[in-house]
Amino acid sequence: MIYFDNAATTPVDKDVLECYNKNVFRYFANPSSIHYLGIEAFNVIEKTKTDILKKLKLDPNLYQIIFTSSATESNNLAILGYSLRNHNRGNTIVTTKIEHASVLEVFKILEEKYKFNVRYLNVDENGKFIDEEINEYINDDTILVSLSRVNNELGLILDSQKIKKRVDEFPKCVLHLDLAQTIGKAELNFDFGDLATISSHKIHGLKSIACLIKKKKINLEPLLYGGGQEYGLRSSTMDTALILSFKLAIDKIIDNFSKNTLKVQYFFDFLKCELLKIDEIILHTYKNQSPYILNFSLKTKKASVVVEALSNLEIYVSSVSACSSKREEPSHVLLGLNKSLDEAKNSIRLSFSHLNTIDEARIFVTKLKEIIAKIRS
Amino acid sequence: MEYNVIIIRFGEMSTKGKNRKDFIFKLAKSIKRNLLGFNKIYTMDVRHDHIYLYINNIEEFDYTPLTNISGINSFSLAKKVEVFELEDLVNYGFDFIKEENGNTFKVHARRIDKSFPYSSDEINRAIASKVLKNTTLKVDVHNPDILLSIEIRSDGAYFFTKTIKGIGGYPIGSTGRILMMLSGGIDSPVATYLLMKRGVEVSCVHFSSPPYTSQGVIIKLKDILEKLNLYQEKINLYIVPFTKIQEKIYEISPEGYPITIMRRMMYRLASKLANKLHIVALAAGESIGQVASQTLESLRAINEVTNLPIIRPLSTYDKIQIIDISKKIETYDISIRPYEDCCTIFTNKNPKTKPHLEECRKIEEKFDFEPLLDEAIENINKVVIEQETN
Repeated sequence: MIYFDNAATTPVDKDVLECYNKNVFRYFANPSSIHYLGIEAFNVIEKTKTDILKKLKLDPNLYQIIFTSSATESNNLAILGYSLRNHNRGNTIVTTKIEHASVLEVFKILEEKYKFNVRYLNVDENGKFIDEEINEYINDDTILVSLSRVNNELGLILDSQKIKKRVDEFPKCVLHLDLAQTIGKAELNFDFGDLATISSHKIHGLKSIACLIKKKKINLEPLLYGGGQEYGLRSSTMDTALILSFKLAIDKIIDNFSKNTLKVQYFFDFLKCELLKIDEIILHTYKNQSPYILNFSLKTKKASVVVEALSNLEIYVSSVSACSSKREEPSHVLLGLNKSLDEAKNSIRLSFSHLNTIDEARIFVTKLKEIIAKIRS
Repeated sequence: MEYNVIIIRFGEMSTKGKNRKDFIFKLAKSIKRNLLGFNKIYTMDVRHDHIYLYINNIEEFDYTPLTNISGINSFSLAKKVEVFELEDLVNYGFDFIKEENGNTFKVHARRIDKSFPYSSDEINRAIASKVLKNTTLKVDVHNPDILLSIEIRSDGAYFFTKTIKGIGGYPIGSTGRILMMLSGGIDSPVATYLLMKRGVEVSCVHFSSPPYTSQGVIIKLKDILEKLNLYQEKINLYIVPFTKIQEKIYEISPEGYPITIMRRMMYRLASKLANKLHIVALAAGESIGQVASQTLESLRAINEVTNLPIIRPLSTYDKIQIIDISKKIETYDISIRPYEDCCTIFTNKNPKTKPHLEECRKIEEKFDFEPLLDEAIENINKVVIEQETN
């Protein structure tokens, strides 16, 4: 099996699972209980939050962590929660054209149901924005800007610093960064802004745990009401063992980032070089690019058919469109970068982890060439 | 009324002559298989006109499997009482009617044993008189709330108020075996069900074109056939690799013809497979006029390649009717999963609704398809879908 779909989800790290198994019996108590076992679990969670913030080089006095079930939930909590709570401060919210559905769909709801003025920034192939757009969209009326640092389909790194600078000019405007595809895939040499999303299963952790990092001074409207856990922002019983396993996943991915990335960069360069030689392929690679994601379009073949053919050989990659006449939706990300409809319909995403080997890359290239030669256009 | 026997009535058995016994025997077998979990709490009495199930513990018994067995027209939950005097019949009949809810009633007695000294009408009147005297119930012979039926046999009287409809048809396997072409869409599972209901033992053939078709289709087919296991406990699915043939067809066929040629090749393959399996007929989910390949002209062009009879249970059904049945047999939600049986690469913008036979023959002369067909038959993958037995 060759697994090149690590941006969808990653295989669970053995140590992470072991950490979960070890702690699931030890800290089974409800962290909200007021007996010793509960308090013990609560304290472990609080300490873990501080540890995670420190690992991310964030000041625990300024930031706090809210654990959620998924990056989607974190994004919803950040965008819906902030916009609804602060609607009286302004009516404009800003994102880019190439965000993940868990961001774009929330903006759509805010626009249609809550009558927000939503502006979509254009992004160019260098991950840069247009100055005029930034200045026009982010103004006195703007309360929130949300974007991902690393794009999930392309690996393109966006210039979030530029946005951060502009946002800072308006005290009531905050910046939310979706970092689900950034941690472990790119350097963390940028400002985290006011709200940031991180997810466990994208970094070899378990599913159903993610978090929203937020500046303490920011107020949000909760999505869930109940027992008042997580500062009243996310009622639900917390899973201490799951949180501990999440922390270990973060530790491991950050500690091993340089080592892993060296390997993956070599791997990426090799594949890029080999794919460039294939006439059928249009590569979508960029100067500011995470080597963990490699996207390309097919000129004449259908992406869904190629994905299916690879799948039959136990090589797992991703494409946006499924083999169905009814659901042939193009990639909004490629369209957002002004690519043609054909390119947007027939793109394939390879996404890697440190577990992939160069031999796998070689096999992939050989098989891909065979498939392209064999299947009909 | 607490029942202690179920009277099972047969489907269209009246048209049968000497082979009637075989049909009844097959039905009995089918009932036994479907009631496997209860074999300790009932005994079966197979007679020439009905099958009787004597239940000795109704609390642990569940009669719902009977509603899915082909060959059962209806069944009644009855109470058997060993009485032979009119007075006793009247007392029991009165008691049973009293237990039921409703404002109107009717008594319907039948003497299977004609030696019983009172006529059916006399029995009806006797029971009705007692009910009319002692309750506020009224008689309604056309549309009664309570219908008490009594069958008087030599071994006792059978009372029942509740009759449940079965699916009808013939017992499974009693009308032979057929090879059904299954795509995974809405129609073919419904056609399969109708065949099973008619007593035909169905094997299925599917044409698979990886990578143009998704592996999801095979999973979908298995799920569909698991639903149909309710009517036939074991279904064989033959998956024919079709990619090479399909690619070739699209290479050589002029605009409008690929679908017709493709169907012709599928029927050729199905015939070859049927011969190999000693199956004497093919079936398909085609419905007249539904799509280009299902016009009468198309069907003629397609039929030419085989001399096996082709049964098309849905020929005259509307799509709405087909969907209704597919919902009833719970295959609809599986059928509409978004895996196409054939990739859009192979869809044709203007398929011929009136393909010419001569033209089809001419196109097929362009390539030697026999070896390709044989190769496909050689590489068939057989999957058996069986009812889980506990």
